[in-house]
Amino acid sequence: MKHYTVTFYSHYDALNLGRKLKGRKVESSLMPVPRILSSSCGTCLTFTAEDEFVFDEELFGRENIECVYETSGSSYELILDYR
Amino acid sequence: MNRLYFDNACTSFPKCPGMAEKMAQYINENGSNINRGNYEMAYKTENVVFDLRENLSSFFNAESPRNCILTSGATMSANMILFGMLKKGDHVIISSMEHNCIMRPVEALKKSGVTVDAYNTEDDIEGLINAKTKAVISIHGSNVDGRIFDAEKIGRICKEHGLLFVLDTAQTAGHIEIDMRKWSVDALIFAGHKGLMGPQGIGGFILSEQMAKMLNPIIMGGTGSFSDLYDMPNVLPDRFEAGTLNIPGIVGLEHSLRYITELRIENIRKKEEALVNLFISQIEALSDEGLLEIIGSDIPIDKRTPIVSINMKKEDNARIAFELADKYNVDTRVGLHCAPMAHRSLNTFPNGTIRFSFGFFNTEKEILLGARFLSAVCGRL
Repeated sequence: MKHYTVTFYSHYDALNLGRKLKGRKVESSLMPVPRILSSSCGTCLTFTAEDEFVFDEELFGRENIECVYETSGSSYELILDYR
Repeated sequence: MNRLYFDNACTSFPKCPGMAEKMAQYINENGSNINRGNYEMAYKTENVVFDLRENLSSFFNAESPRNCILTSGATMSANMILFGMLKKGDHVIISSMEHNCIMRPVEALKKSGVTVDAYNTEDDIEGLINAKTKAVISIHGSNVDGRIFDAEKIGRICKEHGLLFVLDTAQTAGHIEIDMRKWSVDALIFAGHKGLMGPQGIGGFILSEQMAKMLNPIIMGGTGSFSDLYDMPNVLPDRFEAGTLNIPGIVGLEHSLRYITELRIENIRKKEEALVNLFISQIEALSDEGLLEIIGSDIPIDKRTPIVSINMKKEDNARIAFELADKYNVDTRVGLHCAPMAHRSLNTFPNGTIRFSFGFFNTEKEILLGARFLSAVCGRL
């Protein structure tokens, strides 16, 4: 299992992804974006998924998200970057 | 004497069942803002707002829920669209039945070099288009005589000529089916507190993807996103929602829209058409006798909202309206209804009319009583 943190351009997108992940039986949580990742006062979404989880275009497209980080403790490895 | 409320075109009453309780529950038990705090209650509220956008998008068949912008109502929405879209040298076409929520912004824009023409019927529109024409801005249903303009036809004309189409549904949303995509509407303006049965102070506008890319925000401020930047965000809905929204109003509208969706528009329409038919049939004798004129009596029932305006022939409209309210507890609205242009078009300016506007919660018994009381104040009982 891997842990991920997703950042967004808007709260709307964060809620939207949370609902779509739920539709795929993946539970997620909203939380403030760690300041180390962004100073934009936004909301990020964290979730845990199987190792083979696919970041498909429908959910994780350029229009909907900013970045995806693989998280381990307090370290964040950038794996998708649309900035 | 029981109150007969026939002023639903002004604001609907009673409101949707259970709405006030939902709003009170939010205020008393939650109270959190959205897009700012990161805690459970804030997320709970954000979900209500998200649901409203999804439901509005589905209700009006819009392109995307994120393009549903929430404002204080139709007037603020009209201002945001007109001032955000038009610049010096642009030409727009409006209807001859516009409410002041369009007329006053248009009049102000004329002073900055925007030119305007008005159409009487949809067939006039093509003849008014010139090289500078940017948009057709039209009321959908008149708040004076209830006529419904053919939005599908206007949308088709706009599409053929590459024009933007702005539709003001303040008097039609919640009364008749509205289809943004089918009618090629680029900006749909709605009021939450009329046919949608929500509270006052909430409404909004919905944009097509094309319009979303070109409309400029005219109200700037905090959005809870991109807080490190001084510019407004480019993403919707944030781009057009600076400052704190009317969240109690959103909670109320979310509830009432859900209620209307379950009730189904065709059922609302069927009942309201029957009420209008009944009222007109009951007051036709007064018209035949020359005591009053029914404005727009030639408009077919399927082309009108539940509004009937009358003009007294021998009495003062204000005196009759006052007597209806004072003696019989009948609430109507007399005057120009914030639509002087419409009254000029109908030759009822500056006298205005007495407007009876019905809603889903009116009953046949109320209609019969209202017509009877009108006869009484006309001295015919």
